[in-house]
Amino acid sequence: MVESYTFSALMRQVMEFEKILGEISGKMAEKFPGKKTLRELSEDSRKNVESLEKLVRETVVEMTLEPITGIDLAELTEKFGEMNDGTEPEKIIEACNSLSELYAEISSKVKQMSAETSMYLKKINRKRKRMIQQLEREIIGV
Amino acid sequence: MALLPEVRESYGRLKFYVDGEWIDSESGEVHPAMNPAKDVEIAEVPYSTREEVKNAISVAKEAFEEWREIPLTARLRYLFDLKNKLEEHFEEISRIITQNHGKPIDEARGEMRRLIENVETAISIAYTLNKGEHLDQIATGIDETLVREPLGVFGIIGPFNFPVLAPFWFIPHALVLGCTLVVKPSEITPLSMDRAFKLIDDIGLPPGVINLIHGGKDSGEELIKNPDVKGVTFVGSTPVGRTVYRLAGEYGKRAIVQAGAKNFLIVMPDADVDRTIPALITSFFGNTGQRCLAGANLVVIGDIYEKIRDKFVDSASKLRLGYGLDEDVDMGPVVSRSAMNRIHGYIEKGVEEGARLILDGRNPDVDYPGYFIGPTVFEDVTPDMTIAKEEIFGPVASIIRAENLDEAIEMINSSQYGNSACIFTSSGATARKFRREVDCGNIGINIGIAAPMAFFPFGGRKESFFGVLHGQIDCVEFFTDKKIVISRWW
Repeated sequence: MVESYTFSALMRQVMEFEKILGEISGKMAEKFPGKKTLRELSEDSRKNVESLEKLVRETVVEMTLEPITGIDLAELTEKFGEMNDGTEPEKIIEACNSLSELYAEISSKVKQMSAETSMYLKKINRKRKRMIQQLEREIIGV
Repeated sequence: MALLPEVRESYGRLKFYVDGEWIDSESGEVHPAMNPAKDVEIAEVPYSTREEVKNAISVAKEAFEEWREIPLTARLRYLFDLKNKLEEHFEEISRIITQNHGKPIDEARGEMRRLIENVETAISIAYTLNKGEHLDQIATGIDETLVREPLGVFGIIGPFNFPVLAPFWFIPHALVLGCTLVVKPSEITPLSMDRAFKLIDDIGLPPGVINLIHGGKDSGEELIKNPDVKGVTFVGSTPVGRTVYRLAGEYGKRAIVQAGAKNFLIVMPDADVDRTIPALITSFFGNTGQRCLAGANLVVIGDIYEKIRDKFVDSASKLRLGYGLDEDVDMGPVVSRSAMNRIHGYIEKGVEEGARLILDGRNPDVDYPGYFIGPTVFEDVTPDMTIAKEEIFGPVASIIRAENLDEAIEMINSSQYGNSACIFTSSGATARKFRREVDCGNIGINIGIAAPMAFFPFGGRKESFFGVLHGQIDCVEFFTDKKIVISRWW
């Protein structure tokens, strides 16, 4: 993993996480309890990729395009790897929780480059918190 | 990370846009436009003949008489359409900027965003600052009114470093205020403006309202000297800018001339180091140092010196060089081989004059054959050295020690340039003193690139600016004249 990121490179990674999350949750929706929430998560992730793509391209403030440091994507990439075969539904909850932590961190770091992107990441977190709680009830029974 | 695709591999021989038509130039003088990362030719740029420039001016003059009669609300609709077109083709033009200039794609996108802000600001100006004034009953039965009128044809001469943005500091304002234009973009980086003009063609402006020519010194001179041109805007180096301003004065033309720079960034002992370093890096090495607001001299005050120097060099050495269409790339090439050679010359000069080269960016390891220079840092630089005084316009930072803020301010105010100066501090009182005492047009406080947004004028003083009015919002004064009407009705 690189130590510092350009704004676009970091956000491209976020979009990649959203894309994978969308694909896996879509697949899991066919096999596990929580079908409706998993489908919603899948659809939502797909929309997030589209919205982030647009925001990243169009809202950059050029004077504050500073290298972004202090973000560790290694752990999360590993979690996504574990979830990839789609056989353990609780892994998706773990991944969503980790994503939320990451997005909170990225949101604060990209605020001065693109306030809209920062706000959008917070919005994802707010919405996803409800979905995670729902999935915990439906999948783990918490 | 994979490369984003180029819009096109090459663009052929460029045409002029005159009287609403794309026309071939008859000029025999043709120069290449390059992809500076790959060192390959991507277009042929014909340099207009004097007759071709005269023809474009004549067409713009004829169009002015009709354009000024079109109601403001109708002129505005063209600008709204242009904004929508620019949004629609945002990514495409950003990639062309990167392909022809070399800057990383995020910086190209940032340039496009600012360009669109200028269109938006021009629209708002038309509705507000352009309105004029009226005072009833200045004497018994007499009223006085100020109306603004567009002046006529203007020439816009663009720079290579912000090839579409800098001309757009002026273009939308001139159009919305009722003037007509002949635009000559940089001959080195004309491709993004060529694409922007295809969008201008799409919105269906009346023929002749805005015209595009290509060329070098002769074309620019004709734009200034021609009696049918009311004024000219120029963004570029100080030596050329001085000539433009002199000629404009000689021929009685209005002029906005934004010129070169040598910007100082001051770091106080109370600066927040972790936040300051990324801002310094972007300032010195963003756009590969080819920007009039780029940091050039880093003045560090007091016992924070070693810490700042080490962290600055460490961060600079980690920047990834490459083709800007790779989103992982932090820094692209400089714009041309001659620019690279000139910058190498300055690095050699710095060594000769006794500065210590602590990060040498010459001959970096890059996967592309283009004009790459990595971040370069000198220390033990003194204000009288060439590298501390002259504009290098490349990724070269000179670190200078100072005892206190007064000494740093003295260095800034002794410079021939006055474009920008920035300070990093946690003290409001220090920042206030800096703001008040520094003789520069753009001041940054805890920010490394003090780039005014479209709804403020773009400042500049001393040898960095010639004229009275600046770009962006000042355009309402530049492109119009006031007419005073005193009326009495019996």
